[in-house]
Amino acid sequence: MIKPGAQRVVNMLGVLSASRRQPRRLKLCREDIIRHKTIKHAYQLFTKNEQAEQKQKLDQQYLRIKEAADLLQELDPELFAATNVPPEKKGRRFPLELRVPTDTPPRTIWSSTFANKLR
Amino acid sequence: MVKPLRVGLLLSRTPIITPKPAPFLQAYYKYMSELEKRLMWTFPSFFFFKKGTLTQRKFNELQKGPIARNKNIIFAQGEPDVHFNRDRRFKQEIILEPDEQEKVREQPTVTEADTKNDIKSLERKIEQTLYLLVNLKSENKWKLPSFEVPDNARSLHYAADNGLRSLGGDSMNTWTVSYTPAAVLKSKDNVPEFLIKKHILQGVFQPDANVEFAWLCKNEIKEKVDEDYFKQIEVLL
Amino acid sequence: MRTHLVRNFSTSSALLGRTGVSIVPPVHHLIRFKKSQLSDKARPPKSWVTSAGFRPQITRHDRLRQHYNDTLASDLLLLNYTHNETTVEGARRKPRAPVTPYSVYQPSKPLPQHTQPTKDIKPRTSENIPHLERISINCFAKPAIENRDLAITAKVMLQHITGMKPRDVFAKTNLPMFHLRPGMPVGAKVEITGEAMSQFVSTLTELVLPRSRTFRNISGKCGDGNGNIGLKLTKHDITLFPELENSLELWPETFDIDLIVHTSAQTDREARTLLSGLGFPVSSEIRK
Repeated sequence: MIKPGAQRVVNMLGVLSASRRQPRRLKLCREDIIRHKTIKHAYQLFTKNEQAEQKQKLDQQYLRIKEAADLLQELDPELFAATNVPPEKKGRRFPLELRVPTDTPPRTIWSSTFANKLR
Repeated sequence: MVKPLRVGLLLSRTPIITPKPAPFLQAYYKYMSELEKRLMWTFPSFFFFKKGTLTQRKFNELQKGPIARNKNIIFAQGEPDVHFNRDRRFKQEIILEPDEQEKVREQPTVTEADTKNDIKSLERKIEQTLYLLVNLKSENKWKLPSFEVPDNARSLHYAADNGLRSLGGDSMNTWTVSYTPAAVLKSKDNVPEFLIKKHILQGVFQPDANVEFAWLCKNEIKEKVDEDYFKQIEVLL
Repeated sequence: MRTHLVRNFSTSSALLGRTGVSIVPPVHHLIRFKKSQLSDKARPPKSWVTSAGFRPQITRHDRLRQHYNDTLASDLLLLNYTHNETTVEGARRKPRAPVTPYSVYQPSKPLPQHTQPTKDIKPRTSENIPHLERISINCFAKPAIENRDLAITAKVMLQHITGMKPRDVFAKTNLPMFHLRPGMPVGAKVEITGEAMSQFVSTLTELVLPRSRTFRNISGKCGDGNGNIGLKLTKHDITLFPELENSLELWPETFDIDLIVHTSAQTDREARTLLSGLGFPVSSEIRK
């Protein structure tokens, strides 16, 4: 006879253990192995291209920011000082309204009414 | 009166839904998820449904039981390896009761504005980023909103904010990404235009009648705007 | 050197008219191989399909990652930019000045007392935009000190929340006041990366934290100085996870957890900015 509390613990240990719950190991023939390797390689190439494009875009954006800052410093030092925040003073936060996109849209897609209380 | 430079506005509405992945990626995810299901450990129904309860009986009735091993039968395609109501040679399929009341009603990804192709609406193309383009009657050229910077301006982003309010009304909730300009655009009359990047969070752009505007994605901007101008702003979009 | 890789059979020399001696040019010193892989006991790595520990890492489209790549990355690049930034040296042992031919071999100056060496803060470019690396979840279940079985409960709880297999946590210190002895099973911990991490962050920011009674925001003092942010979730917050919500009768006991979100940010401010972009509410009062 098992104690009533002990059965719960036995069930939990069963959830954590692989005994009798882990399925059989995959047995792949030569063609299956080639298929799998091809799929993996194709994914790596696809993502490599995407990542390279993204990286190049960010590098170019960085150069544009630098160019703008250089020119502004030259033209108007006062305005430049207002735009250039030193690292010790940084701490800008993204607003909560800028949500992470979901798979499907909400019922009201865009809230077109906004009462500006600041003015 | 005004400074010898201008401030431009890269006002964007970020995507509301995730874009549908490329067909190759969809196929890849299908392959990998099927692999995962095949290799997944058996569902511990003994933990979620207690022996002898009604819920356990209902759950077991819904599942398709695998064929158990039998000494007296010759299994031509291999003997079953059944534990916890699952044949370990194959993936496990769990069948749940269709819960009509709690079913999530998914909204369609193609909106009304998409079907009408209303370029002034912010509800169009919700899986892409939309940027504000403006066509002033005085210039008759489609470009990003651009404003003069007064002599007493505190900062570029203040000038951009004030300019946007004067152009598009007060009912917009926008967020400036950074006080630092994102880029500088060079025009033919040698007046540099420093772009401030902002996102619109709520509200609508409501200009006067003499200002034509549109919320367009990158591909559409390419068609509407001058070639040289697009080359300058392409990287930022 | 590579031309000698072809191993000819000993009979081919006889055909060419030379003495048929079984001299085979060695190649073991030209090809790089792991000796362990030649043994009979050698197993394929866990990342190979047919190995026992294989688990596919990418099975669905990661919307958090997509949002980061589309919007957050370029916004963070602009946010963190400072013009003409130079490397800010961290605390480190410096050579004794003046550097003379005699002082070169003398030991370097130690750091002031009670200070730890700190990393250099490099200029922020497109190469080092902050991103999420991993999340460490630690569950120290205090009731497990009296009841050993609750450590198992904590482990199952973490497995359900994260989808990854946790490890046991054993007590290290001896505190007789709290009946704590070294070696006691006292909870569980897990480190989540990749898809599971994105899913966890999404459930936290969209389902758990908005409904939490105690959680307000990530304070402005948060952070370990290196861009890693810590959070605490109470045992009531754990019941708000969708994985446990539907079967709460199975969970009479849940436990508080400590989360550490590891980011590649160089400072705490940058890390908090990143987290605010991923959906976490961050306090407006910045004190660190």
